Amino acid sequence: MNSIKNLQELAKNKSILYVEDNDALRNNAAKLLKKLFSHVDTAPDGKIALELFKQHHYPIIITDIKMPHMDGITLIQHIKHIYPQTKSIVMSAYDEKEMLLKSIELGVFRFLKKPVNVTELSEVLLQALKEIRYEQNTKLFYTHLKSVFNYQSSMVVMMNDSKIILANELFLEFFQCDSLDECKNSFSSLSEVFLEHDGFLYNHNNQDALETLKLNAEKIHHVKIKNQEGKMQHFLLKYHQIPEKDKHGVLSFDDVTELNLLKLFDTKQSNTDEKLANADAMFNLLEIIQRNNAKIELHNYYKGLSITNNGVVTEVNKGESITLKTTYMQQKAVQIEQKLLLVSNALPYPIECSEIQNISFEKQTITIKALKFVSSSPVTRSTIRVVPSEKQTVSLFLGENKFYGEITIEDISLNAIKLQLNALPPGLEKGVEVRLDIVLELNKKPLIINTLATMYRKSESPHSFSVVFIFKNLKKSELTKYITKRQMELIREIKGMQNG
Amino acid sequence: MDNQYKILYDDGTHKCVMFHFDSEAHEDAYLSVNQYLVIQNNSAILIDPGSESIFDELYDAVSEHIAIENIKYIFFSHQDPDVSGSIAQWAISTNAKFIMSGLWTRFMSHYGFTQMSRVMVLPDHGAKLHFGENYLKFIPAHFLHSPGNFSLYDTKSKIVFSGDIGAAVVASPEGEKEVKDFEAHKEHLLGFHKRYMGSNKLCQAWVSKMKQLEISAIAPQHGFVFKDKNIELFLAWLNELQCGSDLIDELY
Repeated sequence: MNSIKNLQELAKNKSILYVEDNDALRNNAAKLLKKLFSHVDTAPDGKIALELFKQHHYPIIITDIKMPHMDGITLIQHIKHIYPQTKSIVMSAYDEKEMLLKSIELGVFRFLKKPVNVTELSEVLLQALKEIRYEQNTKLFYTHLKSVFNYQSSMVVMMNDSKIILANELFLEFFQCDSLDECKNSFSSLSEVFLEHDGFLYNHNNQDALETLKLNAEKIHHVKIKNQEGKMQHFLLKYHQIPEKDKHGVLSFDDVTELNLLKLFDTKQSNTDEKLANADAMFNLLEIIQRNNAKIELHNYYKGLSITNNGVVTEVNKGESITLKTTYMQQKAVQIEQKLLLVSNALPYPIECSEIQNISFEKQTITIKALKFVSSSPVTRSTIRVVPSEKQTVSLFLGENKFYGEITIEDISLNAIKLQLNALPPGLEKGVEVRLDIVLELNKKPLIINTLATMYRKSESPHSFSVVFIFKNLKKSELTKYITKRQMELIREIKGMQNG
Repeated sequence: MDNQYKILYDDGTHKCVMFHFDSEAHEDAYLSVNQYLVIQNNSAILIDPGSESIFDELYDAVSEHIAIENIKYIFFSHQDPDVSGSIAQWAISTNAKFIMSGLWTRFMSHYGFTQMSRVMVLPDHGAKLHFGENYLKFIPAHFLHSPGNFSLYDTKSKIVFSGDIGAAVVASPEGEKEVKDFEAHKEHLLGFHKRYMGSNKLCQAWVSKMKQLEISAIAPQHGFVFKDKNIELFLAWLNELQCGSDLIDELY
């Protein structure tokens, strides 16, 4: 009974054409169909049916095969040209193979064997109406989606895997295409149009740009694309994955050509100082990151231990401060270190913030001031440095002479050690070789490192000197263990501070 | 260190190494744990590096094959401690990116991992990653057994690193690393798969993914590697396996 109700509901605003040369059968069927459909037409042969079809594009037709003037198969052939969406249901007393095959070729919706009973017919009509409803909904969805896309002020495309399945007008205009199919003449894969530029996203040996995008959804990437006039345009690209539809995603292109930032990323352009001092560009980029709700990396260091989480920019006060939302752990790390480094693909350099204005654990936000680009930061270090525990001793030998002043280790990595000396031994200059006897503690046992090292750099503060030595031929396995264990200790230390 | 690694594939530029550290006492049998390393030229991906307790040994063993700084990616098929327990140690000692299901990233801080921005999150349907001239494919293996679970297919060696799928609770961790007689091996597979794997439907979904690939070996995180005709036999067995929710009456 439910299916009859369902059928009535779906058919009530639809029209149908019934074609049959047997008058009695045709009249009976018409009576039945009129109980369901709002408009029912009948025809005694294919020719009259076709004339009627030309006037009303019926969503469903039911037709006999063998009829005078024009048979059912020829009728469907014509209909397919006029309105291919129509669902054709074919009835025949003969189960001739040839007819069946032709029906299949023509994409006939269903084939019913005569005599047709009411249950069977209702079932097929219900299926056809459901299919029509599905197609209409899909069409409606795409029409809405398209208008949403076209409403956007930037180029937007929807991707299925690496194929574009929907593009807005701005995108089509940019590539001077009337349709998506036409775009395929300009490029076979979208990533081909991304041109090489320092720090930008483009295809190269080790990177397929689209794959990188997908694995870094919600982050911002820079791309350079040549427009049809041959001018370079600079876009910020973001991939948003559609929930529950992993292969589908939306790519948005934010045109930032007018901000003139390409030079900022070009490593060949000299004058780094000028680039670093470009606070306007920095705040412009932060604003774009905020507008795109893109993820940005927050970095902190606790005695060398790196703590990083993603966050989003929630507020930009140009030239002044920004507010970020991030995790509890990062908030605690910022609270301890009282500074913060921000890193993003969207930024040419890391941003250092040396003033924490506010940390709200309730809102999960951090507001920071005194922002500036920095050319070097711990983020770019390739080795990990840790501050050793207090249980340490170091002896420094310059030739045969032992240094008797006070020495403490500021930090140690696999390649180098930074020592704090209360005085500078005579003759200790850049390039001079020294011997270091270091005793650290590993698993409550002393770890002894005797090594040659070369003086690399020194800096002076009011009461002491910091001197960096590069290790020479040091066997690294013990030191690796030490650094790893020490970092684990630091993790426990900071976790303890968090809980406390 | 005897027999603690085995070369599964080596063509001069591309190499797959199987390591074999740690044995977990598991009732009266042993659950041996395998770790894998895939190298192409100067880049490597480390697969399911295991627990904290084996870090030092594995670190040294990996260093025999490639400089640690050349590990570009570390892949965790799922969140278990025998897979991801050493994530903090690897974060410290490499510059690698960490690849895993998004279901597990926030849990990693319990292993002492503090660098969430180094994680590359895999979408549920998996992903493809350029690796040298070839690809690594991350294939969904959800609920087999972990809810966010992936297998890794190396398009060059054609090896599937299957995580817990194909894991065997088997004695004698030394010596043999390859399934010889599948019929005899089945008993080592059955108990584990019946209890740990989600359902037959899930097994079938994974098997159908496997059928689309040309496979030279299936390398699980526990037990032995499947090769040649044993691949087909194992897939057919898994396709029919009644497990997890299929046996709900036995559990409730």
